[in-house]
Amino acid sequence: MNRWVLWSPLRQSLVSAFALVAAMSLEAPRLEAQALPALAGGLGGALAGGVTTLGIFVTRSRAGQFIFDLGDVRELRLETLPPLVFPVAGAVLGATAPDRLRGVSIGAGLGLLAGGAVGVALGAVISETPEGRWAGGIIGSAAGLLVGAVVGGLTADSRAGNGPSLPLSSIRIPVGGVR
Amino acid sequence: MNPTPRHLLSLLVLLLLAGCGARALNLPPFDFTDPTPPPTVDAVVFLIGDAGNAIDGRSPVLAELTADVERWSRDLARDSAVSVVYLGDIIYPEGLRDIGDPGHAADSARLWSQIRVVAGPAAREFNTWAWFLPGNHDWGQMQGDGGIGRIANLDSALVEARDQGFNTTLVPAAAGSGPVVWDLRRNVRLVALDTHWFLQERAERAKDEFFARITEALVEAGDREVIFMAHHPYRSAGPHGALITTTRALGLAYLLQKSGTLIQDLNSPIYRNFLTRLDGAIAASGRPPLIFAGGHDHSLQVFAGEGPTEPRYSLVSGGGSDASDVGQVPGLVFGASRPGYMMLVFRTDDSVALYVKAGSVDWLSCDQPDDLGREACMNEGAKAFEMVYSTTLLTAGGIEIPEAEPSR
Repeated sequence: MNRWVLWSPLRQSLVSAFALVAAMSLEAPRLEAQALPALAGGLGGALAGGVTTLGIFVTRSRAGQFIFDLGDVRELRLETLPPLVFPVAGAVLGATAPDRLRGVSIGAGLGLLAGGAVGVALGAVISETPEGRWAGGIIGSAAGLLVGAVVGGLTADSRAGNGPSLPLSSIRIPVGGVR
Repeated sequence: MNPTPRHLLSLLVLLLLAGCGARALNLPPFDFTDPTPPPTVDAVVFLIGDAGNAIDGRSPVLAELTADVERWSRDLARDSAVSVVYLGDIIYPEGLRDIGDPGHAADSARLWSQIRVVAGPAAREFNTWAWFLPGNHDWGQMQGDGGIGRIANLDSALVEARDQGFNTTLVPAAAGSGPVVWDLRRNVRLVALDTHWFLQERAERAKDEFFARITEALVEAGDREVIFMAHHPYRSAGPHGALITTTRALGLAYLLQKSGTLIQDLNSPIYRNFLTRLDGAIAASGRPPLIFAGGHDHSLQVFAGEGPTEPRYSLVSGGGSDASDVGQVPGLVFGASRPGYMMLVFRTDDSVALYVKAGSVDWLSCDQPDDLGREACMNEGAKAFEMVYSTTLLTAGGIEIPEAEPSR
């Protein structure tokens, strides 16, 4: 078994995020101000995607659908999409709406911590084994992260209103030769 | 003193170094005795698991095992006195794929490498048998029809080998969870289980029936000592058990393992359920089995039982073609992350002894492209083999044997 298998979704998502940010950086200096938030969004998205996928796998296992082989985690399917999609979404959000990204990040972080704490406590109540606490913590973290991100994003949106974000159409990613 | 990033980095490096070097164990000295002389031996059972990557002519483990099987078959010179039990994961990575699949030829080569262990002249003359138990890889790491299909392929191939004169059989047979009961001699009953069947099975009723049959096998054993054989072990200090390796600790696998999400680990809820129900069956029978022998982790481990519902000894003999780390956990009396196998010796005085034979991780597989290089590697690999542990599991006077109890 390739011991680096589990890194694969994370690696792919990081590569996606870096590729996007690198492509945007080519537009410097006009997009220079976008690069850092986009990078932060990409990295945060990668982390959030990993936590979400982990939460999905642990939730499924608690319902009796266990991972038979670590290779299952590498396969491209619905459960492994978050580490691929979230970094891109995070990078785009960082580039276009940094205020909202900040709100999403704070909400996701708080949700992760709160959800994790609640999950550990519930896991300890529901299950007598140590694995129950770990599973509860992971599922709670993932759920809290998602809820926190949505709430944080919506709250930031109402606070910021139509802020100084660049419109999405301003991002130009060169895909062909540069003349 | 407040920790600085440099301190933390140093600590991380130290942890990494400590993890990388954790292959050998410091365990108390063992009561090594010379191999039992053949005149006092009634039967010998070799236990080897996870040999699914071994290819004959390139595997020092299989070469050593073949030589031992041949020697004991010749020395005992009695019908079926010697047996080889393959404790699952016979074919890596996905079991025996269908005929027509590009991987079928390589899968068959792996299977036949193990069949040929009992193909020597003495082994064939005295009907030395090879018992193959299915493992999770033999199920193709699958559940349901896909996995059953792979086991059916394996069963068919072994029937075909048997038709060609090789003493081979799959226990339990395809789609049969077991237990398969085999009374080896008047005081010993072997019980073979397909543990992956249990892990993948969803029907609770089928599981209930499975454990009812196990309880029945235990109760009907009477005063015979019961030896369970399966792919998944009862206890393990390897990666599937208590040990979390350094590389796993740095990855997501750590969280999956800690939360019991990986079904093949002993702490997954379903595996734990298997062990709990087995304990229940043992308790119902009123007598703990002598041994639970498994593979799964690629090492050699001996545990002493710690409770009235536990097997008195738990063995992990999974060094058939690889070597993985062994940690230090309570109850472990011997552990080695080396390739090798175990040998159970049943003496005429009804005592049972265990011998553990190990090679070197430096000679796991001889894949040199040239014949000379491969031969040199095989020779070095053979030289590295040594008896690393032995103990008496059952003394001659330690049991009561019913006089009129016929052997099945």
